[in-house]
Amino acid sequence: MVGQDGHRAKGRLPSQMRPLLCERSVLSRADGSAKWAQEGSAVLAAVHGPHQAGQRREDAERAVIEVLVKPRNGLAGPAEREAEEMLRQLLEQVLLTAHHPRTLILVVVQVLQADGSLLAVAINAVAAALADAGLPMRSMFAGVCCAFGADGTLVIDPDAAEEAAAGSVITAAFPCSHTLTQQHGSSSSSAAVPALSLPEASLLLHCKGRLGAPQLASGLEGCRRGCQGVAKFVALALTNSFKDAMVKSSDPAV
Amino acid sequence: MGDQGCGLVGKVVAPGDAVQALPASGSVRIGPGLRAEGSYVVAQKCGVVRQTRNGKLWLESKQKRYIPAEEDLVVGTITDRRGENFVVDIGAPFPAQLPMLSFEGATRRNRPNLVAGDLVYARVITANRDMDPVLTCVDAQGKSSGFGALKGGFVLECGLGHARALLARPPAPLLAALGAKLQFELAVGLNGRVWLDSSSCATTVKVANVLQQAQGVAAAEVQQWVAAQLQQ
Repeated sequence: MVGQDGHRAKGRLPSQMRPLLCERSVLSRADGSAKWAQEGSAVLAAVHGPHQAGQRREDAERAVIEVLVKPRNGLAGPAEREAEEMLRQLLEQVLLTAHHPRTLILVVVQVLQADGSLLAVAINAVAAALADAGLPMRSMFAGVCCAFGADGTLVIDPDAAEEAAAGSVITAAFPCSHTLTQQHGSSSSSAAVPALSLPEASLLLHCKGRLGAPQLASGLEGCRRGCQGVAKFVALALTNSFKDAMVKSSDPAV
Repeated sequence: MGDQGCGLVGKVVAPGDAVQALPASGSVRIGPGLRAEGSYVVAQKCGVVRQTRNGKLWLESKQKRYIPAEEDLVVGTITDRRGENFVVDIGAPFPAQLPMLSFEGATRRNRPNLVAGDLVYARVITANRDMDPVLTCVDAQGKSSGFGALKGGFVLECGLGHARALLARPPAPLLAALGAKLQFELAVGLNGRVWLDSSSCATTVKVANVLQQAQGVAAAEVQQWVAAQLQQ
């Protein structure tokens, strides 16, 4: 998959992701929505709720999470069912469901364009939509896909052609948040600055193809590095979306 | 109050981000959107960190789904009457209860005559995650003080952050700018519903359009923006 000059098709480096695009609040009727695109792959995610769950589905202790994945065309099949279940398990770890007992949180994922790394794109779209909906969460999360070529080279964020040619494909999601670290500066010793931290443990791991333990470890590490980049982008996108609110805070009248 | 977290006031945080380290002694007051986890105050949604004058930290976020909290002012629609209560839709996950006796001057003989579809401006007195929210249309002295049925007018929906900004004191620059030009009456609910009424439909429509489109206009530019909108 990697050519003689160390570049992939379309001139990307093995550890280079496609350009990311995130748009939030794209749907007017949903409580939270986001569109996430990685060049050829694009996904629209909508969050509805928390709202009253049906009598049969409600849980007296926590919110019930339901995920619907809709393919770009045709009817949802086993692949979509699998993605729904993986996303649901991911969300159960991340959402503070005990805050809203007896309710239902519905997440709808619509694939707009499919060109590889779809599960990772869907994970990122759902994360952005949940942030937009303002549901209580333990942390933000990011997902990245990587593929091993037949010759064992690792490429991050493969497109459809690379995925088809790959011997194995790994998708992993990691929680990402900012912790406060003490800065040992000269001016003030108590100044704490936020620093991005990604725990070692993944929230979701999906493997396809033949894979050895050392390959899995290096693939996970590759995904984790990719997630770091995605997390930085998400933090920047969030800050930009609150720009007018930040101006207000510097206003002396407030 | 430790002063370590003050660096983040006015900054945007995402869920899971640490806002402030918990001090070794003393207490920290935290409001909506924040929780204590380990040795940090941690955000649970994304928003801008704010601090009140008495040092309470809270998170100002933009969301659409209303989650009731005690002492919130809400605009609700009556959907049903059940026994001694009205059932009110306030846009929350569950319908709210409004006892018929919590109106000014209401007695068992003299009950307010409200039917499904009527609007009320009320205050949330019980907001518990395990129980339906309870509303009241009187203040602590038993007076109506602005609460009660809303007659006529028009209801528009907006984001929760926008509604909170409209309720600010001193009055939001947007309302001040509108009020200088037009005469209208309005009740802002923290559930993202704004009721407004005026002597003519034209004014009501004009105010509703400006209020709805003003979401996202920076505070500094509001006055100029409103003037431009009203000229059209």
